[in-house]
Amino acid sequence: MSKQEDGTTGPDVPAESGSIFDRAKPEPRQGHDDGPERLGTPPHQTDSAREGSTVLLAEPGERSAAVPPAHAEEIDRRAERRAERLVAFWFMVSIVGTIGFVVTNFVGDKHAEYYTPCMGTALGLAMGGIGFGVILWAKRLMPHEEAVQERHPFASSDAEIAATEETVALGFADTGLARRPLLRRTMLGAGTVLGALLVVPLLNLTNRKPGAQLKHSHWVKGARLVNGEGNPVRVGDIAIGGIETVFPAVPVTEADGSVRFEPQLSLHEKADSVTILIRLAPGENRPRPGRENWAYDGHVAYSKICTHAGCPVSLYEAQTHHLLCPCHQSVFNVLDGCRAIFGPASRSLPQLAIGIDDDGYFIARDGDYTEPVGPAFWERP
Amino acid sequence: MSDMTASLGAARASTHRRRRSSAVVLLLALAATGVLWTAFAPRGTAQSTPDANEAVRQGRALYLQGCSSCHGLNAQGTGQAPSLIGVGAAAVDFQVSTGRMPLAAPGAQAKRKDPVYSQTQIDQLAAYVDSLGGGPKQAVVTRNALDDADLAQGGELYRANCAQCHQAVGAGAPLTYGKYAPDLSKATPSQIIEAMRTGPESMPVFGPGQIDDASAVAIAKYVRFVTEAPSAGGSTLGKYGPVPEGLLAWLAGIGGLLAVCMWIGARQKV
Repeated sequence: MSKQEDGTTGPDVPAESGSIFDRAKPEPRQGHDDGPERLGTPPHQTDSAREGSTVLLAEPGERSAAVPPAHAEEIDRRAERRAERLVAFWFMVSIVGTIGFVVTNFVGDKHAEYYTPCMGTALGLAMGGIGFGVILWAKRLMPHEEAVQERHPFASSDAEIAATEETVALGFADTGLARRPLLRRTMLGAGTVLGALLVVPLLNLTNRKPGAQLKHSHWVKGARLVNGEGNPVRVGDIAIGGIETVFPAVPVTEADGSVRFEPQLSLHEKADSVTILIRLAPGENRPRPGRENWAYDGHVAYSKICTHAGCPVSLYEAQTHHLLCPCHQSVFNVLDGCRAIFGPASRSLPQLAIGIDDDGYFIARDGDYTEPVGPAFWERP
Repeated sequence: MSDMTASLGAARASTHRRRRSSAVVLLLALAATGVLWTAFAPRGTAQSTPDANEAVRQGRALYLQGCSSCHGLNAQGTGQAPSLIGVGAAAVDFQVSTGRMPLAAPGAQAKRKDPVYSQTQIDQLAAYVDSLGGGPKQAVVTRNALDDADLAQGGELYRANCAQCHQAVGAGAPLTYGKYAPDLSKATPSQIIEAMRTGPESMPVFGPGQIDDASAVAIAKYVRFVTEAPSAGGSTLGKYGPVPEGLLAWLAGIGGLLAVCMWIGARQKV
């Protein structure tokens, strides 16, 4: 646009043919230049900017007030034909696209990888061709005029205002609110009580505490470690360098005294008790003080729930013994009590003390985790 | 006397008969033993032992030439590379057939590339390393086993055990410090199972105690299924999911629409 302003873009248009542009000037422009009522895009500020427009010159018959020189008209006719051909080209593209769409639909292999992209491209050409053609038609072949529409005043007429006031007053009188104090008071009371509802959500924030449910999981003393299918895990199932996600199967004593193990595999049971059982090579584990006998034969068990945001920490790198959380890249060192060594998590993963029962299956030896699993919360000790 | 001679003659004759019959029995027994030997002789061992030894010998020659500079002359390992004693034939087959070994350059992780050795040479190397001490055997996945495998079960096991690192459709994903879980689209079923059994590099081991052989084949079948599934929508953008797809939609899609809008609204230039 700035190019047009210096008058260089229409080199073949003589500057003296400016009189033809008078029609393009918006009529109400005089006296409204700074008026707030003006809608639409403000017109160009300089007349020289409009001189670049060949479109206006392309309609000389309608604007016979001043006929431009003959050679300029000839040039404009050529530009017009060029624009016509361009618009027609896009319409042809649309036809080709439509034919391509139909042909692909019937001939193309619907299971081939190219099928959907071809259909999309063809349909895009079919619709886009018409769109581009129409827009180019409007831009290149139609006269460019800038119209200014006056906005009607927003205020209603005095008569309308008076009529509305009268209607409202009449309606109020019809309710009889002024002379029916019982209705007035009960209605006000109902409104007030309803308004008090707004306070209830705030009360909900204050009087419901999670209690102890965040502080314990479904692990109990003697619960077997079972895999996702509910099968108990025993020594030798997991190779050195292996990892298994385990859940508790709690012992239930039957009426005849036999003990049955009930896998806790519902989603809300899994959610806090999911645990990873990792088998390290003998001597690799460096237990923390007081946890020397929490591992069994190189097997260590840690909560699978990240202490940062509660994602499942399951990316185990068997060489470095790092556990990586996929959500925010927290890294825990398994050999060092699953201490957080990188990323946003700051607490170690809680460790579960494990042993084996008489049948050789892994069990939670001491019961639940000794600390709450998962992310921090306000009441966390 | 005549009686005596007769009886003597009879006795001598019977002795002769006994001797003759025992000789026949002996001959028959010998013949039967020979027939039985030819029928039941463990000829397989008699014939394959030299072959197996030959494979180990050839494998050792290849090993000394191509591997020993890092893994040591007796595969005992050096400061640069781990010991190969007890890693098993599966580890050799996986590492060499995926081109990870011989290592192109030291780094965070060995990259998959075209294998340097032929399958025969790989088998010989595997035989040599296997002869050093036991370990997982090479995985042989037949077409029938793949056809019979349970695809849905493989999918469940894959999502439970593999997807956290290798991504939902086996496209791979980064780990820490430059390591990564590789893209599985080029892995053959036997390579997938060998990787599970041996736990190459960062990967944990998934032994037969956790995932039995049929389930391992099912996982391999699922991996082939998801990595070979045709992409109906054109380019997969690496199958990395919503992040690259959203990036493309916002930058190219919305950006392109904005450009068209600006073009429609722009003033005619001439």
